[in-house]
Amino acid sequence: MPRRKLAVAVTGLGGLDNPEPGKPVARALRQGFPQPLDIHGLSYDAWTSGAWAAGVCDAVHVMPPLAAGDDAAFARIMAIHDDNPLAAIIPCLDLEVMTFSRLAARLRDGGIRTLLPESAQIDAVRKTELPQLCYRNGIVTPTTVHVPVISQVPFFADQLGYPLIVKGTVAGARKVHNAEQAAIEAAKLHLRWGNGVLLQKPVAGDEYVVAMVARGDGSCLGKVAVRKLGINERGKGVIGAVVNDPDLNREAERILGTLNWRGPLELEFIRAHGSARLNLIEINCRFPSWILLTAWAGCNLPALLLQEIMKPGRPRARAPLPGVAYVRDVFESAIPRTKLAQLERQKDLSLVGRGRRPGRMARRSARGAKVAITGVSAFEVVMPGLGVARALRASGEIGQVVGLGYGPFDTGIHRRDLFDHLFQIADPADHDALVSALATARKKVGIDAVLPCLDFEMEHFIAVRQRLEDIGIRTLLPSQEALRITRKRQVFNGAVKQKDWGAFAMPPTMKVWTLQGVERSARALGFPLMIKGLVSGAYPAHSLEDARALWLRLKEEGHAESLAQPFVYGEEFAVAAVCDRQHRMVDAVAIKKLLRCERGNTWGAAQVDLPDLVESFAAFLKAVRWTGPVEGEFIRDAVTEKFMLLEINPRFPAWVGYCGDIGVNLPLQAVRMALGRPAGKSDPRPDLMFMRSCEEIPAKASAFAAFATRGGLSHERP
Amino acid sequence: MRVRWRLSSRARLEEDGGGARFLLDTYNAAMSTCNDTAWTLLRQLKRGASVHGLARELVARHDAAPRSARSDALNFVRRLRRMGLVDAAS
Repeated sequence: MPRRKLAVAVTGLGGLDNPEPGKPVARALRQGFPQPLDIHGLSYDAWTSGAWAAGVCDAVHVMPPLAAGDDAAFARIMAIHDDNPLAAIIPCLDLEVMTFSRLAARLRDGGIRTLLPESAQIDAVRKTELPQLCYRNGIVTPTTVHVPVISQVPFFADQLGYPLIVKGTVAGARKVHNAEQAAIEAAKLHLRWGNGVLLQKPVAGDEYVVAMVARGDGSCLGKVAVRKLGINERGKGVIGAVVNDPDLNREAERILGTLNWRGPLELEFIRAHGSARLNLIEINCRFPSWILLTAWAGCNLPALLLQEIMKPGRPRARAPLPGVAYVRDVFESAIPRTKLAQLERQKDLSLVGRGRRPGRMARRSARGAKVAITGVSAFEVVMPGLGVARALRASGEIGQVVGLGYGPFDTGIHRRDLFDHLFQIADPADHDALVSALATARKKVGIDAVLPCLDFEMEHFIAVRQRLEDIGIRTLLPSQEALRITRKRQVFNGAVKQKDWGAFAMPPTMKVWTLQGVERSARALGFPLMIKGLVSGAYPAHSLEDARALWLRLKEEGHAESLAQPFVYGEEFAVAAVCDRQHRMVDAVAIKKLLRCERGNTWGAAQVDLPDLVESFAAFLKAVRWTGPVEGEFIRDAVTEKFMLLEINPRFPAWVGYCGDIGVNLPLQAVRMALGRPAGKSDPRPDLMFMRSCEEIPAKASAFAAFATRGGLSHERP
Repeated sequence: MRVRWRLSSRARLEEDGGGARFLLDTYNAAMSTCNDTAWTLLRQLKRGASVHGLARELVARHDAAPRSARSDALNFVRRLRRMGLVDAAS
């Protein structure tokens, strides 16, 4: 007889590129809890992307905002409980833990269990209280100052010196190098989290994190320590591996002993280079977003927590297996519009039976072409190669998909579901090395076509196009001239004479080389002003001070020259397309961007019917003699309703996997045309929305080693 | 008396199906990929070996010249000691 399902609610299923821990907690529960589960996701809006990922939640419920108060949260949970009797709730966001802790007794009376610390314990580990906690307990921590009044940030920042970490009182942190940057970042963090900011002296060293579960009596039920092996430029640990360091273990348990804690906890440490001393930099009163790693390491902390909640007094969990690693990549889904609308309107939605996860090496044509793709990582930003591979894999028409990566930290090298083989390529500016790498890959696994997917690669692939053709690798690329005139620097500055293309126009633009140039553009264009890097980065400035700081930030990021444009308020759209060798647009998908991550990239979207915009964009591409994949990004002025061109990207966008989902498989069309075959007919399905969330995948240490030392690896099954 | 060295319990040797071999430091997840020579020495150290024994292995298996083999083996053990990955067994 099948065992009865246990219903458990999990929160924190959003977060986009700064993922919340709810999704990995739910996945860990699925993998390790010894009883079938009904997982109910509690979210604050329908666009909580992690809840929509296949196989995570059985149902989603929209909660009132925390600001509505404890009674509103309690009433909503009890309403959910009436329909779906919940055995337990695991809150996964810092701000919620306090609320659920206060509600714990009422929830218990209602039949819902939790394992959470008392309010006083949560207060004691707040970021603002950490220096005092460390002082009282002899815990080493970097010099940290809480500055509740934002106007005083430059003064305190100057006292501490630079570089300096500016931290929000709840979450968020950024390294700054001068008082101006400190003030700007502090204002942003204060606006988001309130209560000022923290200024912390950075400690250069290796970062370690320890996730723990404490029993009701404060003792340690289970503990997993991890070293962050790959940290991206926003300070997020994207790659990590379990460690077994006795000093770290001892210190973590000593700290836990001082906290009188119950439930999940994360401690963050830095061990300074050349020192054995561990600096505690943060305590989080919930599971971290890498928590699924604990399941792969044999010490599944979310499952242990739920077991302890249901039957307290479990024996201590066994130690995790050191060396087990994770990589944070992404998972993309196509969501029926009707389902999203239903959740928005009714606040409750069953997801039972919604979508299956693609199997390993799903859909492959035995006689299909072998296609190589670059841009296969989500380490810093989600690169388009992942979406291209997903679309090609979904088509069933491609034989093998070969990933071309730049290093062992390219997250895509662990995607067995997308890539059959992966090869390392060097700096594409070395054309001989580029051709040689592709020739080697072709010799080993056979490659019929290559789709470069990163902006900086394009000029190099165009330069070696004939050499690639000579060794049997086909491409579909624009000319160097078409690439040149569509770059931001040229397209807005006279390289394309026509400013109005019917459905869209070019915004007035000024080049900015110097601080004086910032002032000139501010005088000419007024505020708000967009300061844009030539390759990436675009920030709105609301004052001259803002504009100067943003221009300096872009300069520090390597942009010797920036562009200034008037800020346009409105919704953003994009058109992804592919043009044939006669520069005709063969197929296109227009989307409205509905969810954008902190870096401005699209994580949620809907296909839209914009024939005029697509037609005007096709005319533009014909005029610039474009060939191959391309994306145009637009903003629709909320007042004039006119589309303004924001950018032309000489490759597919990162959301292009969605095109495969909706039946307009642009990457497949590009491969067909590269191989000299006719483009096929698309069969659009306009009822699906695009949604992306972060997803941890298990990484084999041997994969890092193989990629780094042998220059490649294979996921193909013998 | 010759000192016998043994790979520390914090060190783990791993090998994948494709032939990649590496040494994992379980204290900090640092990975060092290994060539054939290093692998030979690490396998010996796992069982416990003196520098003399390691050098002999290099001569026998990798055609190393006896003098350079001894110096290579010594440097290898010193490096592992600095990393905390070998202990003196006797």
